[in-house]
Amino acid sequence: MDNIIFRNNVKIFGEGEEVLLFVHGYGCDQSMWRFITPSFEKNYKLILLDLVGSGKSDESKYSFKKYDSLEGYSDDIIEICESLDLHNINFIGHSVSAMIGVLASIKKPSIFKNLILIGPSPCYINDDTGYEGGFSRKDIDELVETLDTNYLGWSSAMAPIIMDNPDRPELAEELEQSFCQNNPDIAKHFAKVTFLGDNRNDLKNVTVKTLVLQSSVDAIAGINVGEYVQENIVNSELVILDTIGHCPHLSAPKETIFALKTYLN
Amino acid sequence: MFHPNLNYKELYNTSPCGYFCATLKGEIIECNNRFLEFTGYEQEEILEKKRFSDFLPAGSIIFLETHFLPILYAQGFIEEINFDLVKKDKSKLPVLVNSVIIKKGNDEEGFIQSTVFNISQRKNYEKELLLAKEKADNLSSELLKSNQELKDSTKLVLEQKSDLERLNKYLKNKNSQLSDFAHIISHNLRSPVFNLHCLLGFYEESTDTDDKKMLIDTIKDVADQMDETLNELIDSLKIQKEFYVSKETLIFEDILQKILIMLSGDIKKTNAIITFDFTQVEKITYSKVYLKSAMLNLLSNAIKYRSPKRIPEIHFQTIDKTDEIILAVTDNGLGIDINKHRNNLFGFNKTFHNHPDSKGVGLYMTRVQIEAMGGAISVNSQVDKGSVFEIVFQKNL
Repeated sequence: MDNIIFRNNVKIFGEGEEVLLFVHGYGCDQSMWRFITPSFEKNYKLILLDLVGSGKSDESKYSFKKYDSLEGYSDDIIEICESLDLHNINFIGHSVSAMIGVLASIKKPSIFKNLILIGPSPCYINDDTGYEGGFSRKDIDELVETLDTNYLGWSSAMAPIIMDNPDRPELAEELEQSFCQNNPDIAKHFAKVTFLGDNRNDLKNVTVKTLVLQSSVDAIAGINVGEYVQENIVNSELVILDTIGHCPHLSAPKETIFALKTYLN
Repeated sequence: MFHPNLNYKELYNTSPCGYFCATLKGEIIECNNRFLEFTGYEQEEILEKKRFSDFLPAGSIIFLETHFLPILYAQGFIEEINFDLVKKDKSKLPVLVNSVIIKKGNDEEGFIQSTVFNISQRKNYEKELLLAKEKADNLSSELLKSNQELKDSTKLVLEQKSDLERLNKYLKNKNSQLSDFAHIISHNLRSPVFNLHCLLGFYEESTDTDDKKMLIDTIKDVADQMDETLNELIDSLKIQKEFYVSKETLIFEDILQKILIMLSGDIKKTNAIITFDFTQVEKITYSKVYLKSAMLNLLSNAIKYRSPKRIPEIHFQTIDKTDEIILAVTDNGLGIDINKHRNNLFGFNKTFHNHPDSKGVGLYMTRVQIEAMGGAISVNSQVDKGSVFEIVFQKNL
């Protein structure tokens, strides 16, 4: 169990019994929940984690084969829940982790009480059936290019410098405090798996009670996508926040907390 | 206070970097002339109408929403992020963006300040760097591949080396077999020849016709046994392949009887009393040449190193153990000072008696043969009391 906890940098805190499991989306890590968690610490047990390859997870456990589909990640979620003997949990997944939660709940529904999907999208690519995911294949290639230019020199920069300078602990501290620093090769692979995936057919298999939390303006997963998710999950409801952007829990934490509390109560 | 010749507004507008300010929701509410120049828009087309993402291609918007903004919100700032601005005329301008969140009063209010640096020139250089890095990465993976190939061939060489070592061991073994063979020939024929001499001596001395006839019969038997031994050795050579390993089922008593004939002269001369008990184990699957050689050696040694004080008594006994068969040969001869000879009892050309016939070959040869078959030989002895030689045969071999 310890190595699963280490692998996903799992953090457990809070004074309550009922579990809120927060899973971050693509491009970030568990620090994105920092404005949300303080409001739930009193009444819930909070569990945060970093997906393997993101944040401060054990990068050595990243397998380009296992994580070539979202199932690799959803299996990790199930494994963590089982090793901690969790049942009836509230799963809060942002962006790609909304779909990771969907897959995990189909495989092991008994673990989940509620799925709360923030800015979910089952498919980011437009197709010729009229579905508008918002992007084209070319856009995703462009994203990978953007990653390339922004990670220039990353791989040789971070870790070795820290390893070679034990007398300069501030370097390690800097990394410790850094946000969302992900290995560029993994970031690129994860980008392709996330944005080129298509989980539309999985939605109808969800049986767990689901909340779709949607920003009124979201360039990554628009309202039409949020509505599509809600329409295709049987036991679900859609709440549209008066917020802008793909990360309402960061840009508008108050509204997000209010919506979460309303649903959970 | 500013310098009297400087105008704050003018400095702001002519600054070498673009500047814009947006609400926390992303709407641009202020920008300088340099930013207008970078984007190609008029101020009224931007303020309160556009967001920063409106200047970005779709792929970069994903990066903005999933990486840039989360970090900016969570950390309060973000630096040196590279985007391509899409200008009004659709051409692109590579820029670096630094952003910081400025909070005002209550935490729901505030705005995002951003500076935008033109990096067109540096971008070309970076592209070259990226290409070079890609090349280096490819080269590195090629090197890794060659390294793997080298490792593979090293492994192959090592395997070949170990094959050669095995072959070498096999040849050494073969060589020692041949050397054994030479010893068997010379040694095992020596006893019967000596034996023949004895019998001939008896014959010459004897005057009794019946005795003479019996002696001639015995000499014939000895000659027959020698013939048989020779033939066996020659056969085993013909077989070529590890001759000592060709095994067959042997009856201990039969082998002993043949040996008694071969040594009948010695036995007669010394009045030696030979007894045996093979009831525990009657048969063994083993090399005939080796078993015969071992038993012949042990018996001829027991007779050779008899005590002058008493008639030699030699007993053969088989013992059945779980995984082993033991053949024990007990005598009442001179005995060996075990402590003195412990380490070289079965060595080559080692002798422990000042006996005129002692050549030190027999025990060595027996040991080598027995060990080659996976067995062992040991001795227990007391000076002037006698010795017990034990041959241990492995049942499963």
